[in-house]
Amino acid sequence: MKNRIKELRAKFNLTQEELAKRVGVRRETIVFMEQGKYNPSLQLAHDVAKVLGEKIEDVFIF
Amino acid sequence: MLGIYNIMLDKSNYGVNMKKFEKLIMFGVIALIIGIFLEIYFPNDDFIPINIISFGSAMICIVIMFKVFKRDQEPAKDERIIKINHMSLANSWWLTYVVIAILYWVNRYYPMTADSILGLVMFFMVVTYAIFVMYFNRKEVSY
Repeated sequence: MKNRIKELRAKFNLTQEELAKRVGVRRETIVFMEQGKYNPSLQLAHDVAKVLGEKIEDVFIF
Repeated sequence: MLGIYNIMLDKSNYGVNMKKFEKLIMFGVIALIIGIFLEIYFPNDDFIPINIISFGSAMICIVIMFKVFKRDQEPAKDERIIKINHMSLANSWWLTYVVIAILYWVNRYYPMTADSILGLVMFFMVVTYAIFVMYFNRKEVSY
């Protein structure tokens, strides 16, 4: 699953570490998500989208 | 043991250096395997294999306990880690089941002692669990 986390993170000037802290996961999880190697749960996808100020469907591309 | 403690105090992003943590677990696993190998192939001398096995087991237990107590420095619930643990446990359980099935048939033709079977199963489950955790940590997880 592709996503725009890296692009949106850059827009908000957020580091992986900061995003990870805000959504309550490890930095490695954010790294794997950005690379499309980990499909997050609906809850985590919602939290990430909320922090990045977008809708889930605009962050995660199915 | 103090040396091990000092190595683990070398902090990274989340308090515990994962690379060194994994290295220490691997060292413990290798010690266990060598101990079991020596016990099987050199059964006359019990002293050295038992000490090596005890050292390996103690190392794995201490490192895991250290990791558990240091958990408060990490996010409380990381769903990826939980998934990895579940997958590792499931895979380890199935592999152990397969080994038990194989041992059942081996035991029919080449009788083994209860001690050796129990020891093998006990260590096999712990070792395969540790290996699966390391494997899934590097591989993509998507279920």
